[in-house]
Amino acid sequence: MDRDAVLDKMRVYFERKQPPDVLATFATQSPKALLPDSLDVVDFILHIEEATGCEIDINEVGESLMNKNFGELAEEVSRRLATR
Amino acid sequence: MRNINAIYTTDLGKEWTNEALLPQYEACVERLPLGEAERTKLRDFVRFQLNGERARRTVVPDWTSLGSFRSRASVFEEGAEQCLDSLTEQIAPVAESAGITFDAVITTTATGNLMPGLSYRTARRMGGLVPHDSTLIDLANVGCTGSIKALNLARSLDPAFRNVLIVSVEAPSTLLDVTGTTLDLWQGNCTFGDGAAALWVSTERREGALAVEEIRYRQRADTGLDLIRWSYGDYYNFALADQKTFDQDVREIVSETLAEAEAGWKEEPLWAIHPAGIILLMKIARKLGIPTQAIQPSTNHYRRYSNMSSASILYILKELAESASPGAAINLVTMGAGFNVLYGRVRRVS
Repeated sequence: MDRDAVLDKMRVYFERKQPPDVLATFATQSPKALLPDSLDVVDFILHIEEATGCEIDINEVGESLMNKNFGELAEEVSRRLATR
Repeated sequence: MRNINAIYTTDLGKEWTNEALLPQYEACVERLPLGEAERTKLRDFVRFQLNGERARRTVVPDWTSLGSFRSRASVFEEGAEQCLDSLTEQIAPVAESAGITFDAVITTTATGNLMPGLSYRTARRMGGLVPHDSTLIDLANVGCTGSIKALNLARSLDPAFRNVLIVSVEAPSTLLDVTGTTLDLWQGNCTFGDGAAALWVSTERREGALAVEEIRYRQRADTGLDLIRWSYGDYYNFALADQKTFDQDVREIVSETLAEAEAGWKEEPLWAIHPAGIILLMKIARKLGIPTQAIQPSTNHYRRYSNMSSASILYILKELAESASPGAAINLVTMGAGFNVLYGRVRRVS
């Protein structure tokens, strides 16, 4: 699954939770801003796991969740999925 | 049939929030002898662990003073004494007004060692409410399942033990170690908080009591010894098997236990779940068809207190019991070092 496909699946999670302007610039948004609570992060990761059919070690992507934007996170998840 | 006639909890010491703790931990990580890549990884891990609003309580007056066996053991002892003082102040008047004495006191802690143990210290405080021929038992090194194991032990005692007091005291903040570099040690630093709770368990039920209907036990000492254990610095350190093994094995054992007990919980929507590994719990809940709301009492507790080891599930149970309707059941799930999982079910009586 390439980066854009992963990004689309991530965006779906926020479709009814974020305003259109945030969704329009989703790739540049920060996970830390849109997922302020650790339980939100868990829920988001579970959504991605279900959408991609692959398990994600939350500790492995923790750094990206803290420091990168969704575009970069999608790229990393795509790369990790490709190695499995 | 045994009944839980009363549940007691206490808010100990002072509160540490994620917001207050994170900059202090980040400063500690900066001082560790690590290469830049490793430091960044550890710093991000700590930031991730302390993301969002969460708090925990601690009996440690000044955590920078922790750095030797003596300092940690002393703070544990002082903190445990505070816990017992606070719990005794609540329990004694209730027991006196009910006209009962305790035939046994069962205590548990995994986060410190005392001799004489917590049961003797409890008995001393309770005076005549714990007669000299009472049985005093300390369960040590049990971990997060200690309080429910104590409940299971209480319900297995001869009916001659009419009233049993169970006390859980956990002060994991006394283990806090900011000199190590492993992720699991820092996970321990970020995850735990201190707490203490007690149960009055009796053969006779009072109004609003919880009848203990079932406790089911699954231990996997054959494969689970390394999943959660102590390692050692100047004291005990929290250590885990590698994350992948931990996740896979724990999920398998918890899922098996809950699947076996499905007939007991299927129609009961209230759950008191030990708040360890919330992601794991959410995955298991989805797999077994347990609604996400079932996790909510545990996540609420985790936000307010973090993981208090064996004390947590008693806090959660107390909250649920206070709002449960007569006849409602509450499922109990706890898991921890060994590795072992306990499922139980209690029911509010009218």
